[in-house]
Amino acid sequence: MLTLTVFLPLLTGLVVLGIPCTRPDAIRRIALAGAMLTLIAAIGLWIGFDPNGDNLQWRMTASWIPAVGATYDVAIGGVSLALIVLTAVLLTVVMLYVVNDHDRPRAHAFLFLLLGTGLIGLFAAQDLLLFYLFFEIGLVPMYFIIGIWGSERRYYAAFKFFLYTRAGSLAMLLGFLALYLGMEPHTFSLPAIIQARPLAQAPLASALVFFALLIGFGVKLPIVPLHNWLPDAHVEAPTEGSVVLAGLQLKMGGYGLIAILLPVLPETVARFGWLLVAIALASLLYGALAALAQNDMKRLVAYTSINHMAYVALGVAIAAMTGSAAARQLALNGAAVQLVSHGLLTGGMFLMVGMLQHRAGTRDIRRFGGLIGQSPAFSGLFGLLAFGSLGLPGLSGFIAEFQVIGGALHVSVWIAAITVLGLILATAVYLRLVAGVLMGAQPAGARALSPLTTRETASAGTLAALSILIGILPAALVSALDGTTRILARF
Amino acid sequence: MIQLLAIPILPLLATVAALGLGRRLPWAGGALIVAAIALSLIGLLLVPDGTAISAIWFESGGYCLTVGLEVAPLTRFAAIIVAGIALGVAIYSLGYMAGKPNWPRFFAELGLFVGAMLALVLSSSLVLLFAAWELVGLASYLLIGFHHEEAGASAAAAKAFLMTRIGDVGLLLGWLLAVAATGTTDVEALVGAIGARQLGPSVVAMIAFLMVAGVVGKSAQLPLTGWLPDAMIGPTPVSALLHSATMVAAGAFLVLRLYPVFAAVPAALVLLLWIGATTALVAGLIATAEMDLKRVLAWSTASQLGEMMIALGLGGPRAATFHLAAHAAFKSTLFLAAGVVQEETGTGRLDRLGGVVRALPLTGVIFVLAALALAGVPPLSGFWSEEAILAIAVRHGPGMALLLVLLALLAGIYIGRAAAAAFLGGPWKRIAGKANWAMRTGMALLALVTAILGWLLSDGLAAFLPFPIVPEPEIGWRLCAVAAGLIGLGVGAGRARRSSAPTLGSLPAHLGAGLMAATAAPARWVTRLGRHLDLFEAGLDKCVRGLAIAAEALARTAQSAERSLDAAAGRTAGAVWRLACDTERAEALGFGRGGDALAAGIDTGGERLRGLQAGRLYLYTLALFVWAGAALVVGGLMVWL
Repeated sequence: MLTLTVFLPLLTGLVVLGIPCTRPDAIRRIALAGAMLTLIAAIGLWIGFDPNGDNLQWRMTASWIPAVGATYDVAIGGVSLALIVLTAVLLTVVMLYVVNDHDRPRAHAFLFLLLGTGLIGLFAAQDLLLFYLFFEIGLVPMYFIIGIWGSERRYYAAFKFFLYTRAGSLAMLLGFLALYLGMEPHTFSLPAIIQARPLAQAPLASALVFFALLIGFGVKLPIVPLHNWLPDAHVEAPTEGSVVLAGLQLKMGGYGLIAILLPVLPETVARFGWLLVAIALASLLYGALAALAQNDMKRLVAYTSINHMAYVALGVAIAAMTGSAAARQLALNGAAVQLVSHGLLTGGMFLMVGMLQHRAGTRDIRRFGGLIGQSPAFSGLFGLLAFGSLGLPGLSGFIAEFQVIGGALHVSVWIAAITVLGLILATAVYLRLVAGVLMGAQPAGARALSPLTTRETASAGTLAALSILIGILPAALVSALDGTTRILARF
Repeated sequence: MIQLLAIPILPLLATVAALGLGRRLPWAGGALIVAAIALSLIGLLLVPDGTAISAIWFESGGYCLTVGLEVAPLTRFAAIIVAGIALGVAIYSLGYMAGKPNWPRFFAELGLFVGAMLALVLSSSLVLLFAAWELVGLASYLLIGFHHEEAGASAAAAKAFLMTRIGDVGLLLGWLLAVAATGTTDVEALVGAIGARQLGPSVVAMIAFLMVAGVVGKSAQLPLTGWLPDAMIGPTPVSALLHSATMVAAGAFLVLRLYPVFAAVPAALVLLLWIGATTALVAGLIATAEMDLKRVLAWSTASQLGEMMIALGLGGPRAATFHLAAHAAFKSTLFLAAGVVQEETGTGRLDRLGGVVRALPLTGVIFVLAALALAGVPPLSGFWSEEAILAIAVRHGPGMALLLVLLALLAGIYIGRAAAAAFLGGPWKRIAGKANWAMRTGMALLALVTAILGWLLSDGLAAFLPFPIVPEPEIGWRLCAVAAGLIGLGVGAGRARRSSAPTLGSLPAHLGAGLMAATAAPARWVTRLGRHLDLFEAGLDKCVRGLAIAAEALARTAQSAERSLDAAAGRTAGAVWRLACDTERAEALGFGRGGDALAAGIDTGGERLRGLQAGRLYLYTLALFVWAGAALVVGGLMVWL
């Protein structure tokens, strides 16, 4: 079942490749149907998931490359499950959003579906080589998506994206190889590595592996000195590309931090805990401050992603540093909820910005104003997503952030104090966005915007509704995460 | 149980209906909101004491996050104030908003506020309290920015939300710390743990100080006062309900709700006292110089909230509760009357108004009644509550008592000035005639409450609250306070009859301008910092591009090296080739010729033989015959021999 979920998008992609290009509607519908089937399969995984069970549910293993000790080994815990469902949801929403788009639909749909397989496989992989393989499958299509369907500076952005992520994934691979060599007998099996912790007694080697993995995952998260690819990639990517990039690809880094770096090297993460906290807090403040200065809405939302994802790095650092198992779990739950919440809210924000750009031909805040009176449905959704992103209770962002901050209080009140400073700055960013787009008077020369289509309302509305669902009834999500983080926090 | 749950949910349901159906409902959903609030109010009066409903929201890492509502004397009292004022304001809004654009949205946002505010005061869980706290902030943002196309409205809304959020994060950290200490969000659990001294004093102190930040932000105390006057750009019913009577009083309510926490940390109460005293004085002074009627009332609100903080800081929660109730009544009445004035005359500027009482006698009487209550004139509600605060202050020392007398004098001056400048003087001619029965009903309802609340407070409600009773102050101080209020009224009104200029010179006006500038400055700094970061970001981009260019240059160098290697290899290869050719030639010359001749011979023979095998059937047949003939000859010869 898990393997089916992993490869369902790829299978659909192959089917799509077999359809002649002269039938774009059929291609789009089949791609959408494939994404929906994946979603149904993912929900099936959820139904069969035991929140109190272990971290390796729905496990399936098969021989892959026995010579080097790599196996096809997939299984899920709560964090993986949540991210797989998120992937399926966002894939479906994106396929729905582009359903009428006829620009080379075959390649477009294939790349997105391939990417879907890469991501779901990555979240399920229990073998580091397999993880690396899916990591690359998840990244390479985005290079083409930005390079082919992007806007003016797409080649530059795609190239930059490629260079950064390649450098990151190579660092990650080196880290994996070191772990592989540290195991006796050599194996890439993640559960075995987590259990054996091969480098616990080697301070230098473990530090090197820590930094290799931190760079690998940090580029994707992104953390501050490694974030420079993100604004350009988001700005140049097509709307649906930005949604997947922010909603899913940043999660690869966050997932790696939570599910690989922390359990494999807990002592080392604790040793460099203050460094990781400093990086996280710097990212938190930097992302919000940089966002405050943007007039390009996509750029603004891209920078707030840095702010939001910093909670994940912070949660992991806190979990490694605090001595209280309960606080550790609280911080990890917060970090994991943030992964899901950011996927929904920021994915939704990019969709809304895309709708504006599609209608007005610009993303400049100064060219908009007073949309409340003109387009209430758009304004309602936009406002909801924006207030959700600034952490309003009732939406998912609050659930994530207060848990991370609550965990941080166990380590130091000052960490929490700086974090809430970032919260205030993020508030300022989104208030500026809302004030600039929805409120005020319409600037001279602005055209009237056409109302939202059902397709657009449904795609962004789904994300907003899920965010509210998590915000009001977080128990289902958090209980699934709680069992997993209990295991992760036991070290 | 269901009754209790319905109290905050009814207004929220009305909100959903107003959003969904909007103009199809009577008064664009307004009637529904009024009905929902009225039902909530009835529910509040009927629900027996001690009714509580609580559930586990979710559990994370062993921390239990509960949500729950509870009807206790204090929560019921506060909820009745909220629902009562909201009812009056909602009725008033039916008339005030009638026919204005977007009025379904107004009622939807109003319902959201009332529901969230009722949840806030009834909540028995810290997390629900905080969620409601943020939601009333959202409602405030939406309502301040209701006329978003007006200049400054969206900026004022953003300023209000942002400044209160600075305080809110203090509250957030405070309750998270409480959860970390007790493992649950239940208010009773926190209070119980503090009562039983289970928590370390430093933890309790930190909780209290962090929560003071939340109180300061929500109740517009210094240094987070600047948003309140700007919030007056919102519709007047909003100013009456949110920004004077209920939402801004949530700060004071929070201290009352968690009073044991604050009582355990005397330093936090002292801090609250000094913040309250400074705010009360400064805001009261600025109010004497403000030229806009609604902004006078806003500064006055900050000042009166400061008085509540003084009461709390001196350890008089009962007096603070009294003042919260009385202030809610008279200040919302003042605002509603000011709203009528603004609607009818088209302006709220004190230097343009004057003599409105002849055109609007009912409004004038109501305004003056509420103004007298504000100045602490007996037997109106303000008198009773200010006396209660005075009693606490006298017990504390004459300095504090003198401060309160001074505040009463200031209150008299600014409200006397506002009332006289707006209502007295030459006759006002042009009246729009917009005030209708709904506005008058709402205003009169609240005026009635203003007038009689004092008796209720001093009599029936006195035993209702769980806080200790403080004996009345000596007659001398009482007379002093009332006299100060009256003198203030006289001075303010007397000077305003001649000119609407600030009563106490221009210094308070400068103070106000300085205060507003001081609140705007940090926002500007942060924005500037953001711009610098953007430059830095561009630099980083260049840096990365430089790296890429360097890599490219490296690649080019490698390429040219490759090329020269290529050339060298090419030359070598050429030499080898030539050598090979020479070898071949030698081979051909040396050994080849004889071989060639032989090969040529074989070749020719082959060519000739080929003719025999060119598929010519007759030749094959012929050959067969030849072969057979030859065989016969040979066989014959053998037999014969």
